Order: sequence, then structure tokens, then C-alpha cells
Amino acid sequence: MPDPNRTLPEYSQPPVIETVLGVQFSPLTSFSIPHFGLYWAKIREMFPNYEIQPPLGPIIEEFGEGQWKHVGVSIELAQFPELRCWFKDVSGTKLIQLQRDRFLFNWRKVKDEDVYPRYDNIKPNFAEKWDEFCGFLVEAGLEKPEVNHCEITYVNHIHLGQGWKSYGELKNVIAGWSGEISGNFLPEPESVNIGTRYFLPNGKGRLHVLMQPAIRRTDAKEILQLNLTARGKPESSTLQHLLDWLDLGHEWIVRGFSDFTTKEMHDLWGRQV
Amino acid sequence: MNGLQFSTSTSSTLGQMYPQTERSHTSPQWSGVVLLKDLSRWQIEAVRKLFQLLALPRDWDSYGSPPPSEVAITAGVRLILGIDLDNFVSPRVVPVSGGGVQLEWSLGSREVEIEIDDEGSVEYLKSVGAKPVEEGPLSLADLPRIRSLLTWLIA
Repeated sequence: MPDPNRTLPEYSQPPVIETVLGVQFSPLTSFSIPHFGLYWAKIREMFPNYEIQPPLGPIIEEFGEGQWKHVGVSIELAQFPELRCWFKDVSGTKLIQLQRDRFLFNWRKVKDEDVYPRYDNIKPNFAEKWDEFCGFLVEAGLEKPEVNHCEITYVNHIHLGQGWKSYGELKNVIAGWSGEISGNFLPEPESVNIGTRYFLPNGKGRLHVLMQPAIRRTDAKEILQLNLTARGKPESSTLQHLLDWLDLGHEWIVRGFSDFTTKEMHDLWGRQV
Repeated sequence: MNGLQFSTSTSSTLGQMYPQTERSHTSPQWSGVVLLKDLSRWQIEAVRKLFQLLALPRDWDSYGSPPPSEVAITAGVRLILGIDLDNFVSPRVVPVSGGGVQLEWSLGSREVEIEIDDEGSVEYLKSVGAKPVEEGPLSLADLPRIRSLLTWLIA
């Protein structure tokens, strides 16, 4: 049953297969390799598996000249090789990603029967884990993280055959894509990638929308992967301001997703609000 | 809207291929996908066949073998994505007992087999008329070597 107080679009069968809520902060200068293990000890009961990954590059949303950018390659005298740790739960649906300047909480769909738990349930999970991490930093005598960006990402998978059978039918899925050409020379596209970005109000950040054809590892299906990422600077590093920003990012993702896709697809996904 | 970018490719203009990893270093995404941008049709087919092998049941060979390991499949995908040959033939992709996978290309009497074991070690075999002519270990990082193995098929 849809929430009667809800004003954001809602779907009974949304195509979302992953969400990421997280923060980027100034690199913790005292955070070193042993701290990954000490932190893991705190969360190991719920997140017993780990993987080492290359670190994510820092991203800063800028406005005016320069626009948004990945901060370029820089050379610095690092205390240790930069790395990112993945801490995974047993079900394989929840993940904490940690590096010296990033903390991310992922939920993903693993089995067909897994149901998207909804933002209102995921957000408290992120808040709890972030709060726990900040508590760990205090216990370990490390500095408090100065958050410079919040980010929220929704990954949607739209299967071949679900409203579209070829890229000539992409207009059935993407509201802004007509597929029309001015002459009659070009054939139907073999493939289409779409990337757009939008300002959030009052310089609060940006919404990035990226549609890319892909093959999914779990079932070898050809899909359109539609990623919506909102990023921006929160008012301060307090938990409340982080959550306020994530609420804004979430609203833009949900409304943006609904604007970006067609009403026919909304019917397929069971739009309720 | 303050930024817009479209890109398309048509079947008559296969794009230049760039190696892509399954997870970009710039993305926090966890779900595994291979992005198809700039991949040739033969590569897409090969990746799809590799991923399909992950669904094999244990004992698929009736000798108790596990399905190909994640490591073997990932190595196979990396190998395929690293080959910068357009309009090439898609390999046969077959599981190997013990959790490995084998990629097989044949053209005329020439054949190249690349076997990846469950831990990601790679070996190759070149043969002519079903007679082995060369074999040995192979590094996935040695893209020129892999390319020369495959272009030997059409030389």
C-alpha cells in the first residue's frame, strides 16, 4: 500500500537494483592500515566478509567556471598505499565501503525475490553506520571527519524486452529521446549512451543521469543501466545536515527518474503516486 | 537541464574498443555489469557466454566439478575486453572441470585455445589441423601477446 502522505513518485515494482548513500570528507591524516582492521572488528558480526578495492577518486561539484570535476591525479607523499575496503554482510545485499576520505553504504538486490527496502529504511541504516564509524574515530583518538560532499546513487536495470526490444524503441523508455533523425541515411542505432546533468537549487549540488547499455553478471541479461547520482555539499558535517542533504538528493533522484522515463514504463513498474 | 551528452553507434561503425573493467574506479557501484559502450558484437557475445556459465550447477560434468569460479570468469571477461580487434569471431566458451573456463577460436585448420583455471592462471595452445604447435603460460596483462595469438589465426 502506498503511503497516503507521500508526495514523491512511488512504484510497486521499481527497476532499482542498487542504492548507495555516502559521504566524502577531507582525508583523515591519521587513519592508517591498522584502523581498517580495528573498525572491521566493530562491525564484523554484521559484515563478516571483506574485499580490498582500489580507492575511488575524489569528486568535487563546482559551479560556474570549472563545473564539476574529478580531482586530477596528484602526487603526494602518502603514508601508505591508498586503498578502499569493502565490508560485506552474509546475504551479499549490504556493503560498507571505507577509504581515508569516503564512507559509503550500499544496498543491492541479489535475488529476484529481493524487494527494494525503500529509502526510508535505508537512510537509518546509513545514519547508524556513519554514526558508529564516527564513534570509532573518537575511540581511536582520530580526527573528526570534515564532510565536503554527500552523494546518493540509484542504479536501475531495465531489461531488454521490458518496454523496448531494440535501440530503435528507446523512445518507449526515455521520455526525452525521440530517436528521430533529419534525413533517412542512418539506420537504427546499434547502441545508445545518454549522459545528462542538472543543477540542484541554490548551488546545493548536481544530479547526474547516465544511461548505458550493459550485460549483467548475475544472469547474463542485456540491460539498460540507468544511474542517477546526486552530489553536493551539505551545510555542515552534523548528522542532521548530512541526512537533510541526502533527503534532497533522494527527492531529485526520484522525481528525476520519473521525469526521465516514459509514462508507459511507469505503468510497467506499477506507479502508485 | 544544464548538461547533455548523447552518444550512439550503429552496426556499420563499430566503435574503437577500450578495455573496461567491470567496476570503474570512479564508481561506488557494487552490482557487477560490463558496459557495452565501444565493445564489438563478438566481445558482447563472448561476455554473455562467460556470464551464463556462472549459472552452471555443481556437478555439471557428472564428475563433481564446481561451476567456473568467479575468478576464472572475471579473468575471462578481462581477457575479452582487452582484445582490440573489431569484426573478430566470438570464441566458443566452455567450462573446464575444476572450476575453470576455456575460450576457443578456430579459423580454417588453425585453432587457439586459452584456458583459465579456477585461480585465474592462464595457458594457451595453438594447433593446426588438430596438432598442437605451441603452448605455454600466458599473462592477461600481456595484451600484445594475446593479440598476436589471435591474429595468427587470420595470418
